[in-house]
Amino acid sequence: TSAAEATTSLNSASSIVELMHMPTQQLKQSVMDLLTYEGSNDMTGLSLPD
Amino acid sequence: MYTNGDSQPDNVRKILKDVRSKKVLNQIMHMINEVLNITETFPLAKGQTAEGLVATVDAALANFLETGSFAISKCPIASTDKGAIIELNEALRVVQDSGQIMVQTGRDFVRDSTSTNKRVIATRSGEILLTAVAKFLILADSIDVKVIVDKVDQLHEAVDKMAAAESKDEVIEHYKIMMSLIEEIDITIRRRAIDLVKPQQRDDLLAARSALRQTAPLLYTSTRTFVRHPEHVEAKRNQEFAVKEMHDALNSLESVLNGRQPEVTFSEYGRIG
Repeated sequence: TSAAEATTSLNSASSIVELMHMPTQQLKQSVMDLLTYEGSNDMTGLSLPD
Repeated sequence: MYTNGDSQPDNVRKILKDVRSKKVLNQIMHMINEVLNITETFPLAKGQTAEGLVATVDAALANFLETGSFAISKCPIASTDKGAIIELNEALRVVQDSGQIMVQTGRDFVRDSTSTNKRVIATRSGEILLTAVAKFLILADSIDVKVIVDKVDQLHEAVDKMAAAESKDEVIEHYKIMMSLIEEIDITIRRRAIDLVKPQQRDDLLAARSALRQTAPLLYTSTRTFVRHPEHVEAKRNQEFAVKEMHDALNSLESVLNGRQPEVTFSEYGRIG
């Protein structure tokens, strides 16, 4: 290890937890939006399975 | 309510006790509690479609998996600790599998949204998916700690090399390396300290950090003196003292980061003000 190498790696050090913060929030929110869907009897907007 | 008398199922409580970072703990608690305590439902907002809700989950899942793979590949211990990387990939795969089931059961639910049974199945899938996400984050948190501990190990080596220096130039060179490592670890430690769940750990971490910074110049001076006057017993003794203080501070850092009680608890004995 040289001093130069040690300083370079300083800038690239972003932890996994930090990187995952936004994707986690988005996934959680999308799941919540789906699970709190009130539902409807109106089937016109849905593509029904064959 | 669950059989354990808590608002969380046993498996969630079990994984939560492993979390060391406050930020991760809050994020996970919030996430799991939200999905476990759904009491309200809402009609579609303007422009939203029921299928669109499923597609959004699908896209968010894909983004999570992609960012997860990227984060794992960029992890500094990827080359040194293959086991940790395998564990992370495995945790991510569980997110993928449970995510696909969520998308499937979610689609069944929106196609027949008046079915209580389908709602229950979709909600259960949501719980399983978000628990898998929580497990991934907890593992990632512990691996983030490993990355810092690796740096602490490098510092131990740097201190020893410094102590073994035989010329003034060597002392200066090793000191530069040691200081750049200290600077590097310092930023991470300060960020980590804010995040720690236990306040006592935070105090110990910050005290060890300041011990490291205060002792480093002492190590430099005493080593330079010793290199110039190797015949002086006092010079050797000063250097040995500084080396021991550095190693003690590093051991203390490592213990706190690993969630153990450090041998030298700065916060209890008030060694450092």
